Amino acid sequence: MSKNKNKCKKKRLCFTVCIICIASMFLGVISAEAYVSKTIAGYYRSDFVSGIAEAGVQQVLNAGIGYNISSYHVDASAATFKKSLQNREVVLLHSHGSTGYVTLSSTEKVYGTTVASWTDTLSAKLLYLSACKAGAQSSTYGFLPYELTKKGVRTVVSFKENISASSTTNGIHQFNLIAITNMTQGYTVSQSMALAYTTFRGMCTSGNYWGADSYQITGYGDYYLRHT
Amino acid sequence: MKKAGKIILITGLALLCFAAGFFGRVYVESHPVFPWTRIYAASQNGTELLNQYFDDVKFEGKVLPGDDESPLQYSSGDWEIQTDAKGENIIAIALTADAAKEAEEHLTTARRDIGIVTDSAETELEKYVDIKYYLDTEVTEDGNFYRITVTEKNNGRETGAEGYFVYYTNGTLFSAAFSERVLDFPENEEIITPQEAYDIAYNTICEERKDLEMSYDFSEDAVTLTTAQIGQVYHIELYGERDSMEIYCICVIYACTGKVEEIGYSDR
Repeated sequence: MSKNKNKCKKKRLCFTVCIICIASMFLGVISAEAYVSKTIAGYYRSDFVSGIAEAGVQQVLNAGIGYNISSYHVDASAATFKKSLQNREVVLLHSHGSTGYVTLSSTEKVYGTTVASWTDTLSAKLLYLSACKAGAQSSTYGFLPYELTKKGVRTVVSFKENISASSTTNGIHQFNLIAITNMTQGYTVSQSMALAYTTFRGMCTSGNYWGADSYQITGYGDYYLRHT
Repeated sequence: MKKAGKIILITGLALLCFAAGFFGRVYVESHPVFPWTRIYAASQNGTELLNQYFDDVKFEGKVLPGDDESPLQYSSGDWEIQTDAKGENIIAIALTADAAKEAEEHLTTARRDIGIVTDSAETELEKYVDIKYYLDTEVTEDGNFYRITVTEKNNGRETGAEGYFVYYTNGTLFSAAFSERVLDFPENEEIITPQEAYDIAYNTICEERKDLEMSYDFSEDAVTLTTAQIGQVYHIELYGERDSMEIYCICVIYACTGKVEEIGYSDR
């Protein structure tokens, strides 16, 4: 009788342990999903304006579509940038750039060739590079957006020409913000950029589009910010 | 003591399982030895692409195990239509000439010929503006769209009438923006030279941005005469330097008067 009781007790214990283990594993998977998804990071330099890296992140957070984990990086290192591309869904950058690269600070640069040398896989769904000529291909520094998509970033938005703004019109910052706002409204990246540019052209009376006309999308244009 | 041991054991096991779930998930998400997520994405994309273009056929994604280059396909007799491995482009493969023709007809309905879409954009602009001069058209493709700019020109000079169109590659118009003609010819004779415009821009920026070390580098490429909604303007590109960082400047100047309309900087 007592042996049976003990057996029963052991069975119950085993069952409880199994349930706890399965539940823990399940929780782990969910936490991992949350760790990568619905997260957004902004990158800018301390000696530059923050532009979309701050305003764009805020726009997404305030849109009420479930993006609630954010981080801002000022004068970051290439290693930190890479980490964000591994564990953030969306990364928005505004900085100084030139053909084949972007800068993260006055000393730190990310070249197309830098990304080509990375051995890790990147899992960001959208990287928005608001920087002069970062989308142009360089025979020395490589083709940055292409290398990023090759390493796993799903969609890269970049500019092939110089981008700029004036204190009165806000130029490229206004364009970027319209594009991000469109994305929060359920449009895909392709649709958002196309719509933003159409809207922006109507605003620019002097025919100077502040470099917005040189935007390009590398990778899949069908990515969109998921609403919860 | 026995009870405490059990609690520690269960907690330990639970933590172990949590870690396995967490890191396992991250590993599957990011590790290159598991190409499944990418195949799935290609499969989804390809299926959506084909279904979008071929209304009469329902496509289903099919991925062959162990081969991430497998395209999605639809075949009819001796021709077949596929998407590429990324699901971005539609490809037709045919075994005979007749089959090629049949496949091509199907493809034409999928991706409109760029010439047809360009004609459509020009017709759209003509609906909006009474075109007097010739139209100049520029097309950019970005995978999902044709982006078309149609500009009215007279003797190579823009008149201000312009249309910007975004078409899906199947020829459906997605969005458009227009501007009306602001200039009728003969042109205004009192126009400043590109060199004069460059000098005005250079001096204005030197005055406005004392923190920049400006480089004077006049060339024909640095100055563009264009027609905007406010009339003919010069767009002038200049470069300055601040803390070893190159700063791009763009200055818009009225071509008739030399008045500065606006100046933009890459660090603003």
